[in-house]
Amino acid sequence: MRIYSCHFCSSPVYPGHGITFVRNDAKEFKFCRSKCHKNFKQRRNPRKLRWTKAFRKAAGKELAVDSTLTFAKRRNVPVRYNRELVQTTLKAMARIEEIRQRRERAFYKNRMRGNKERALASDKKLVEQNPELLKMREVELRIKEEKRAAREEKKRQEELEAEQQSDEMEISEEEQEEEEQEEPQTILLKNRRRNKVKF
Amino acid sequence: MQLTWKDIPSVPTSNDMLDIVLNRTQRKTPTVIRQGFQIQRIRAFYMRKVKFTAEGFVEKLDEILQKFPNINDLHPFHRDLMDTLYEKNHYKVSLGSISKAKAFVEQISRDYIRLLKFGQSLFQCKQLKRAALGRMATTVKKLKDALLYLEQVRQHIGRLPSIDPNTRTLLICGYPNVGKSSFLRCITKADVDVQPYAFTTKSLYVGHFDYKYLRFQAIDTPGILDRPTEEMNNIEMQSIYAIAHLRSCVLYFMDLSEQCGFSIESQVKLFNSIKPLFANKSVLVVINKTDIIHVEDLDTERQKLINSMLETPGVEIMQTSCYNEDNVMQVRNKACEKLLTSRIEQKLKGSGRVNNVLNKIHVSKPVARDEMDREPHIPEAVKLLKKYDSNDPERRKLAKDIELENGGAGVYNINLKDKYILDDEEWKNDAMPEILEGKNVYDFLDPDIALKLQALEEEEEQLEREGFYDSDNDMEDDEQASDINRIREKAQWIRDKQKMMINDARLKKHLSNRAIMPRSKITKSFGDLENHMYLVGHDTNVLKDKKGKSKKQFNVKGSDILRGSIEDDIRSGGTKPLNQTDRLYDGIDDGALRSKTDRIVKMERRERNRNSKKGEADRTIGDQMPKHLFSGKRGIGKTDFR
Amino acid sequence: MAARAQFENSNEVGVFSKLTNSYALVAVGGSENFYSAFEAELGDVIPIIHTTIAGTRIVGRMTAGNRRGLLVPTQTTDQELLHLRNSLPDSVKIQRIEERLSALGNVICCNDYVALVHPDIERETEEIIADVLGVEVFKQTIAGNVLVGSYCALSNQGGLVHPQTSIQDQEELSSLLQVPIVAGTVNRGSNVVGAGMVVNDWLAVAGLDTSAPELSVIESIFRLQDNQPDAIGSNLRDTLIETYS
Repeated sequence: MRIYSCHFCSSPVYPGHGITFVRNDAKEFKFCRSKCHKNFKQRRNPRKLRWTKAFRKAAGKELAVDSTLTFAKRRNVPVRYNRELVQTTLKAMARIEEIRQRRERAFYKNRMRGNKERALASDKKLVEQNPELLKMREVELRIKEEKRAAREEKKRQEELEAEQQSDEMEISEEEQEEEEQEEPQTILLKNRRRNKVKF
Repeated sequence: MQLTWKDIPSVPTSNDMLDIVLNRTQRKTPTVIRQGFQIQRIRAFYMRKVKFTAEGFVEKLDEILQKFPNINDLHPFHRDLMDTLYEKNHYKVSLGSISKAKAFVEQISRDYIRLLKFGQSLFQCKQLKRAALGRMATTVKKLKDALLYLEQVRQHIGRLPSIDPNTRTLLICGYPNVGKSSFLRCITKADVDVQPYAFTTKSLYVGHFDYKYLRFQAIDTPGILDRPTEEMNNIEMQSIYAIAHLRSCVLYFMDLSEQCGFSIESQVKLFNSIKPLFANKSVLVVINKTDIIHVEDLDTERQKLINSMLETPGVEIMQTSCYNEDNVMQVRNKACEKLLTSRIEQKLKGSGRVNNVLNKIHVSKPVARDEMDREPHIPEAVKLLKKYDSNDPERRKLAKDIELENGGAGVYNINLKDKYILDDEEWKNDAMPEILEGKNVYDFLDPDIALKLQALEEEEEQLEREGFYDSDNDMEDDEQASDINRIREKAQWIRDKQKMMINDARLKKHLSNRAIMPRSKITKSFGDLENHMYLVGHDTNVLKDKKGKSKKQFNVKGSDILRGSIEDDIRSGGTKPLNQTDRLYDGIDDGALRSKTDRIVKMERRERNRNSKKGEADRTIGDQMPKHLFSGKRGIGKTDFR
Repeated sequence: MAARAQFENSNEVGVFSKLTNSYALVAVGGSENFYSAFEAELGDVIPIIHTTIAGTRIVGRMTAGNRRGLLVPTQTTDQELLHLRNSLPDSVKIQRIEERLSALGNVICCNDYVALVHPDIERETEEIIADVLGVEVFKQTIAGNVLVGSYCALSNQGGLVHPQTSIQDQEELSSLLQVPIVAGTVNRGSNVVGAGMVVNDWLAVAGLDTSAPELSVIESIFRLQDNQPDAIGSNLRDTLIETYS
């Protein structure tokens, strides 16, 4: 049993997964999934595809040179089994992994440093360059605000109405008038149809 | 070349053969035929019967012809042997008659099938078939004697010993009862009958033995009497042919005690008379029965007689006693040696094949190229090791024995870890993890791992001290943060808007088979303009005022007012003819009549819609069988899409 | 001592086993008969190890080794490597080789002092061979055949090569290897002598089909049981001419 790394994307290939291609010069290529295999068959260069580890390492996006990475390598000269050695190895593996992750995090932070400032600068530039668009935005915001106000107003009205209806059945004259005024458009439409028919 | 003929199938008698073939015809061909069948069918029925029977006979006869050896293709030794045993001419004639019968049967079948093709009735066809089968049967019946003879030959030929005429052979010959068979018994494991009377051995016997890693065959021949070959009987002739044809070393056995019933003189005479057959062969005269008498005990005349045999080139004399098994092996070895040397001489003469062997008998000795001593490395323990013997009760216990004790192969499983050489015996059966958290443990297994880890830890500490891991949390005050947020929001909005604008522009450009509306023909209302300007962020009040002024005033007429649609018309700004009526409802009262009309109209339309008609006037009848769906070959794809 | 053995009805003993002066590798088979054939002859003198190489049973053809070391091909799994390390004494170095020609037994033919290798083998591999096995390395062919390991059986005391090797080639090989060399066959006329038998300085195991003359040649050329190589030219000469022509 061995976990191989994918020839294309360098992700781990667990036993029973993936596919192996053996070229006629006896070189073995392990692939984690059909995606990698297909890309390989299309003769794509993994260093030029952004999603592969090879690209990320080559572009300096990931920790590529580090002392923690030197621990794991294929050993061609075996060592006689020794319980203590295996124990220390297992412990060491956990510790190395921990350190590696920590460094990975530090590396990421370091890489992302200054991004905020850069983004702010570009934002500022954009805002300065497009005052006319900002005007449009203001209109949009205003309309939105008005609409929102109207909706709230309406809601408030309805609530009020419902309250009044439940409290007392009689409707005051004033309110009725208001209502009529509120919907002149709809009534007009109805009138028109009726008028025409009447002819 | 074939040396034995054990696999010849038994030859049936002619009657048996008839039974077999006719029975098979009856079983394997159809049996029911009627008058009313078509004549074609009747003819085919009988033709089949005739053909099938003929095939059956031919097959049987062919088998015999194939399996019996062709006497002309055999090695001369076998040919002559078979001649003496079975009478060559008789054998040939028998096989010939069978071959002829086979041809005849084929001929009959051909003829009658031709006749059957023109058979006019069932009866006629049946008669033709009967005639055909009858003639075949007669032909085969005539083979009676040949078949009987061949069966006997078969039984005998299968029991002939397998004699390879080309291999290394010792040939034992001599007068009857001189001890030839007992010699064969002595040197090989062959169980030959030895009896104290003449002609115990009536045919050739073969035994095998090894000498110098090579396999030899020794052939015991029946005794020979000294008389002209024409008078010799079959038993003697076998010996003569063996001597004549086999490349061998001939051991001529003599009995000086004359217990065999033949005088020494006659024995020497026989030797001299068969001498011509010894040309190109190594000959060893073996004087047997030394337990009774030695050559030295004979009188000088007889000794001289015996020594006279030595005059023939290549003849040597040896003495032995099969009874005491005295000197037997020496005789054998001597004979083998003689045979080998003569064979090898012959082989070396033909240089073609021997060149292939030269490198196999040539040992290349190294020429020292440096001072280095290249000693073999043999541990001392090897010399002390006791030789393993499977019969020794004290023998070493092997893995095989352990396996057998534990249920044998397939049940017992060996423990590969049993013989590990580890620092601690307890560790032997440890199960070691191979994978830990997605990592191969073997890749990390390193004797220096502890040291390396130590170094790493130190490096880590160093980094920590240098502040490698300190994260710079840039905390800004709230004021600034909200400012930044606002800018970010604005920028985000601008980006979205730009994207949308780009998208719109693209959509506009994207024609997708539509005609372009000329810009000049696109009417844009004033309202649109106003709206756009408003959205872009201009003050539109000025425009509104302007609009009010420029607008053509609509003159309201009396009739408009009458019809009550004045506001409507003004609103739409159109200049419609005033008294346009709604034709749909022209002359129909509002109310019940109208709803009824509506219903009728609907009903009217329903059927029309169902038939996909355009209107009342549409009388088209759709294509019943659309050409594209009913023409051409059908390939892959559906019926609807081709 | 020369013995005959068979691995699951196959005569190609050299395919399923590897024999050196300090250890023997034997394929894991269905039964222990083959292993016991070695055990009977070797006793406890040297370790006899059950193993697979890259999951296969053709251990003899996959590996190359001598008294000082063992080379295994790149396909060998980590588990097998550890198993070999655990079973062999420290005096034997083990190394996995990254080499295109992965059947090391076919491309390398060595005793404790000299090794013949396939002419196409890589330079690094050559160095590793010299280093791990402690031998002089020569790129050579046997009878025009590049698979030197298949066509040559070699010990410190002699060598058996492909039956069609010319006498000049034999002389050349013998001066390279510094051992007496003879051409011959095993398993009743098989010319893959390397794959048909295994040999060390005191034991040879050939296939069950090996004929008596073949076995006697093996015993003589490898000086087993005090036989001398000269016997081939003298005592065995007639026998060999009889059998081979």
